Amino acid sequence: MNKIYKYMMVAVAALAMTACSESKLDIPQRGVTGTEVYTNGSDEDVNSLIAAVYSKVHGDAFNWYSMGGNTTDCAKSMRFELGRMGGELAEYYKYDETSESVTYSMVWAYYYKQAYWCTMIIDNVPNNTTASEAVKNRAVAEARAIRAIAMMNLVQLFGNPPLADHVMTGNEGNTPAAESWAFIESELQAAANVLPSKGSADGQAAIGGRLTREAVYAYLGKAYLWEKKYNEAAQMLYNNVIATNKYALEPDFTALRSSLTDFSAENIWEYDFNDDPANASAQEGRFDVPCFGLPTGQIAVPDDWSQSQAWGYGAGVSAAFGQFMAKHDVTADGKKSNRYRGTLAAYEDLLDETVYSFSGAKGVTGQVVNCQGYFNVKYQPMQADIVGGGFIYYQFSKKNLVYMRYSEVLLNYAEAVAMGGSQGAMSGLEALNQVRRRAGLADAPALDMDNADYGVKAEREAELFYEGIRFIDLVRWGDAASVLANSGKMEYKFLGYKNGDNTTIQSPSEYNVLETPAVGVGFKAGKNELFPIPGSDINNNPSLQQNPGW
Amino acid sequence: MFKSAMLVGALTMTPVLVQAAGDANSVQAVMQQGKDVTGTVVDENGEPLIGATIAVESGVGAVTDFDGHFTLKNVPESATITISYIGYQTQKVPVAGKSTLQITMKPEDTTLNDVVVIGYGVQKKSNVTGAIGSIKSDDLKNKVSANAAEALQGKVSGVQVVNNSGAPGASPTIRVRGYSSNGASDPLYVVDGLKVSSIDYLEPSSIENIEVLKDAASAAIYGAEAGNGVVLITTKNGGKDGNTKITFDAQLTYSTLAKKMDVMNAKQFIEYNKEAAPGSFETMLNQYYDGKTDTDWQDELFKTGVMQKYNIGAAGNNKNGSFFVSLGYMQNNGMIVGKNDLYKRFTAQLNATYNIKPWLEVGTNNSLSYIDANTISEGSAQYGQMAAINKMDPLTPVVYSQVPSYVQDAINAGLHPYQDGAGRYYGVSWQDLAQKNPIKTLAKDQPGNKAYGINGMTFANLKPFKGFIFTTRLGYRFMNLVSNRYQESGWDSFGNIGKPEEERPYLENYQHTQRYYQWENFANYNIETNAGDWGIMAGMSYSDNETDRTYVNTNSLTNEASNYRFLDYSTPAADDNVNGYRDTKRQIAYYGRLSWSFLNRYNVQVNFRADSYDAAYLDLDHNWGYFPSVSAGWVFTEEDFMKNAAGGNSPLTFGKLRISYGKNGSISNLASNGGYMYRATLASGATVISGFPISPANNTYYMNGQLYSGTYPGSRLANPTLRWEESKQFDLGLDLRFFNGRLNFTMDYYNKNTEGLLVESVAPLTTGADRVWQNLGRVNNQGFEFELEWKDRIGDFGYSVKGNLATVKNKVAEYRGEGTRINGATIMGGQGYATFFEEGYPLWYIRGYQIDHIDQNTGEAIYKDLNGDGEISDADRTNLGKGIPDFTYGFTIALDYKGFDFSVYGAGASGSSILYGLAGLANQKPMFLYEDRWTESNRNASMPSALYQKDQKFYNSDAFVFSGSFFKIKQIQLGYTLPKSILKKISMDSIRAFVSLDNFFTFTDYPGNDPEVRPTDSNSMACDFGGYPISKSVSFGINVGF
Repeated sequence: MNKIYKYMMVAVAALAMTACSESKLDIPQRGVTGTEVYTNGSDEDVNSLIAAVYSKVHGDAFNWYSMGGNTTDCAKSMRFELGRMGGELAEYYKYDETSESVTYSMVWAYYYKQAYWCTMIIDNVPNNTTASEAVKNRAVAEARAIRAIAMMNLVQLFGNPPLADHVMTGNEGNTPAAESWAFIESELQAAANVLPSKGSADGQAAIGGRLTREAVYAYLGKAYLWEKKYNEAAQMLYNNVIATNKYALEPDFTALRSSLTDFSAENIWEYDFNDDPANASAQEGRFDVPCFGLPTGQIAVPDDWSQSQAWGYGAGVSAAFGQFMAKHDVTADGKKSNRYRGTLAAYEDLLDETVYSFSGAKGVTGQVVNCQGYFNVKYQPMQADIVGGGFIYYQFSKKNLVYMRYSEVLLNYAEAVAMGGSQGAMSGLEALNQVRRRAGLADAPALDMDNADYGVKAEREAELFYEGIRFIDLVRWGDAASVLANSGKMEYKFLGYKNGDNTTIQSPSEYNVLETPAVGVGFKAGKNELFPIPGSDINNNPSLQQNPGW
Repeated sequence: MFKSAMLVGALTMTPVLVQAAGDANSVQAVMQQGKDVTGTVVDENGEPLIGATIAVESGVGAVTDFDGHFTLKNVPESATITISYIGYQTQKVPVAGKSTLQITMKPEDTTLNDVVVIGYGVQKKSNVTGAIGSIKSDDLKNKVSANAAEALQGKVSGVQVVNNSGAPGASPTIRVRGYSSNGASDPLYVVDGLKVSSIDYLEPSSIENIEVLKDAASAAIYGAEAGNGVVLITTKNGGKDGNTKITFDAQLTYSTLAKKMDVMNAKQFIEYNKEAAPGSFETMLNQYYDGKTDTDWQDELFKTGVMQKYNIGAAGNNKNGSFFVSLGYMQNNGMIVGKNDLYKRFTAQLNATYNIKPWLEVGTNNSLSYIDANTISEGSAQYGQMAAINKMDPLTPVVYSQVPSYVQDAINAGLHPYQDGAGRYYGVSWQDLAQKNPIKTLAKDQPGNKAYGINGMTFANLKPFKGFIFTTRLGYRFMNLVSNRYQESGWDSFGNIGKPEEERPYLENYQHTQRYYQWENFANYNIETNAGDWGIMAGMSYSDNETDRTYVNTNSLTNEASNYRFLDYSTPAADDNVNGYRDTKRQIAYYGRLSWSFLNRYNVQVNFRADSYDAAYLDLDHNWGYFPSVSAGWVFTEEDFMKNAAGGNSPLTFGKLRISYGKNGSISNLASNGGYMYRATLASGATVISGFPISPANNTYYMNGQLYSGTYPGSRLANPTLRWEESKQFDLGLDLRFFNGRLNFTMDYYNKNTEGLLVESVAPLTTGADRVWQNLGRVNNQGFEFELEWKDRIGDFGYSVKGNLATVKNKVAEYRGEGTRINGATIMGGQGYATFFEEGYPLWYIRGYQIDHIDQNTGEAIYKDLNGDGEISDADRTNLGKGIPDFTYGFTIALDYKGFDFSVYGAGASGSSILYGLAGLANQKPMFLYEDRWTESNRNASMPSALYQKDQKFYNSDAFVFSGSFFKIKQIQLGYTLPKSILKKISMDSIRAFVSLDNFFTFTDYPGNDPEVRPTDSNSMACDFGGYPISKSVSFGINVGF
């Protein structure tokens, strides 16, 4: 071969080795937007950022279901867990869980995730040069309020969690609760200064599922109550919420179950499920209906309830709560109150055709797990509210999920007054009695915390069932150790009546409830008042101290 | 130093039919003095050697004929003749006046002249300076398994073969020198220069050899991907000896379950559950149980599996080129009953080279494969179909002979319980409401996966001048995976009583296409100088990988008949789900090698590679990594003082000391889940939850009169400094050969530090992110590897004994101090995590409670209060064991006598622990929980009562941790090869028939199915999550050569 060719070949070889350009390595990531949206996005982009936060607060029951029904990734499963811990549900909390139990980490993560998303808005959106001031300011104020509310929940449940007032690195140590409370107060106040005020009693529809100034004040009042600043609590709640006359109780407690009361004057803050079926596919997958509906495979449900297949988490009300309601929520003529009907049904109620109608079979057809013969009515989706595809996974209830109701504000106020806060033009007793009257009960003769018939504690237990309050109330009052001493020591299955005739009304003493010892240990004073900080964060962060006893 | 002619030696391990190059009678006699000498040349078995070269000093020569005869004319009486034959020691025989000679040739100790493939080149084995394990086609040819990777087990020290599943078509995981990575610790596979992610497509009989580059210096030429070792596979070629060859292999294998899991029968189950759920269980029992059903689900599920394997190949060559072609078919009907455990594989290998010009050689190696697999979904092992076998209660029948009332109720309510072919209803558990009948699940699930693949490499070697070879080569892979899965509609579990309209069929269709190519250019230049032989190699590599994925499912069809089970017949009312994407991955690398060899005594090699990856892997500001290595070897037996030792008759015929140090990376975990793991991103709109027939749009919110698709921070915490794992490894090795190769000994010590392990962990939850990828800590693996082989022949009796042993000491050497740990795997029923990553402990060790004793009065387990605070809390959990064995070993004994051959091959591991992870959620329990439990009459029990077994701490306790040590006789094989004298008459080259027993004997204390079956993820390597157990099998086969 010619020498020239040889050298040419070597040259080609050398050239071939440098043939690739590094620019080929820059491959854009599919389906992903850069974080610059915070600072250069349009009004619509900023709205999308805060929309995601609102959506996150509601969360996603799908995740909860798919994780095996023992985790918390949405507002409803939070309520479910706290209902179990507060002994409201037949599936009692066992209190033998360790700090690595998924529930605790999911609760913790649920709130910190909200805080993170909010902080990203709070830190970055003010620097946005594209969006309008009005849109930016409102979104930032909403983010500050939601972050403060998340922190409040964290402090209530975990004691001294790290304060998420910045984008967290994961190396932060505990923040003393007092410091977090101060932050919560000032952030809520700052947000309230910016947020729009509700126009009138029926003005919420115009604002939709976004936070109002009054709603934020209602949370601030709640914060004061937990801090035992009773005077500030009473003043805040009276002056900035009650006295605005923009809120009122819905006359019929049972109507609270229906989407007809969406944006009613009673709702302080709610998650807006849009009713338009065209949006169904975009709001599908929440899984609320199949997760929390009564277990339709095991028990027939009345005609006007959702007929969709469901698994019934939180559907079994505890016998203790059922018996409490049967005693407490009785009208002057000895009947079950309107609130009782809107809250739960004992098995005999479900069979009572004067109360519920059935076009098909009725009664228990299988084994209803975690049930002692009492059923949760308050959060049963109504058939008329079901929107979306034929299959359960694609359905949702268009009923808004209410995070805080005016009745809670009235009871918070009543308690603040009962504990020594100075009352406004409306007395604490009157606030309590407004709640009682609407429930269908006689007025309380006096403002008292502990009276079993008309005290504020009992009233809160009855009124705020399954609203995520009971457990933290018991802890706050120091009553948890005695009330929950035997929690989780038994598991229950409800099979109807002992004689097998499951469609004829018999007395609760004839309930066929299978009881299985569950190796629970019950609430332990000095330990269970606080949730444990999740093991994964403790394990991996030397500066974070675990709560006592965990 | 890269002598291609040496390759021939490596290729002719089997006796090859060598045609006589010429008739001995026609050989021209030059010398007329002396007398004629005739003779016969035979091999060590007494078989004639055809084509052996006979030379007389005077230059007269002859070649043996078909019978091994030769004739030499006019040979001086004092002459000495030289007999040579490839693969045999050359002999010199004095004629000493004899006229007939009988010459028996002895096989050459060829091992030292073997070449090993080292990546972008080959090297003479005697010059190797690294730690390289080698498997030749001989080791592969008797393997009953259909998977090449299994051939490595017990054969190469320091290479652990972990079976993730015994299912047909399942491929084992290979671990080289322990575990050093957290995610996939898979080695890099390179087949004929092509990087591949799996070698399932290769028919083992097409493989010429497998090299495992164990030390960092050897592997460094593959840089950022070599941190877990490199497995180099060379497929067969047509040889260079001028002969053609046709082979045919057939094999039939029957397999059965090697070991049943010991679980409760109906009587025991009832007894246990009455104690676990006093009252309530009995109530249900009375209501639902028929009083007689006692189903052994394993007996119902596991039958005899049948595998058939056929392979036909042809090879040929002449001075200009060679070809090798083979076609294979394998069908493995696994031991699970029914048609859903069937794996079929067609393979073809087409290899050819041709010298077009003296300076240009072109060639191509291609593997074509088509795999048709109906496989059991092991999915998430704890919840997959296989797990159901050990979780299903014995009180439910497979099918009902008489429909019980609660099933009749469902039928009356308009539901459709599944029926078998005979119309009988499948049993539905009333005991475990969520549990589905596994036989029903299998029968009603119609998976259909097909994979089409072409893997190949086409190359040109330019040789413009002596010693210089420039190679340009294009490697490629085209692959298409198609899955069409159909599940009939119907009512399947007692807990799922819904409404008739909610019974839906499920049809999913999945397409995955891959187009990968790599273009590589490299030059090798070898020169011999007075200062030694020098080899220089330099090159570059560019690779580009594009995958397209489409996934569609529907839950409503116009008709459920079998000829309608296609997406075309989805109805408008169906809730269907569509997703898909295209991903591209690219890589650029430059690499080089400098080697020096002096007097066959001193060898030094320096490797270097620079790797860069695209933005999916790493931030483009730090996407280059540099991986150098150096190694040296000293053949001390070439030194004069050794040569003269023992008067020149030292039994030590070869001795070499090797030392190497190098740096490798590990990149594969960086691109998992689509990559971009370092980046802060925003997500928008839908969160797709894969594997479920819905696509929830979870982050929308209706505000201001419109539905906003929310934009939010991604769930992964950004980590811009993320980089690859880096391992630095030191290796010291010694190779000794005694008695001319009859005794071989190799030993290595290695110390490997992997820094910056890629760990995906739960992000600190306070950050609001879910997951974070970090480079964490340092993991140290160190150990010794020994290989010892003795082979000899006493007359017709040949034998060899080969053994190997490898130790691994693994621990997390650095990670934020003891007490700070990362969570790993979870197990069913356990609370929280079972395995952890923590400084001072083995990688992903098991951490849990220790049972101190069982309370004799209550049956409650009392756990050890290790921190003495009077409470049993997380702080009382401790190290309960680790998944990595302290040592692994294997041995092979091979005997042959007059055509019979017999081999036994065993492998084992010792010192690991296994966490039995299957008992938690199921009602059915393993026998050890039943037998040893506390009862009123067994108060001295080692297990808590059935009731206290519900305590969640129990599942995180040492009650579930067992020794994972085992020894298995992997194979016992007997073969018979027909003598050449018979074969000659029927014009055949070789016929061998064999019978083989595989995995027949296992010695272990582990109560689960199989101590070898483990999950793939590093963090759960200590856990047994069930899965398809390994079978034992009997095989019959025949190998024919023409």
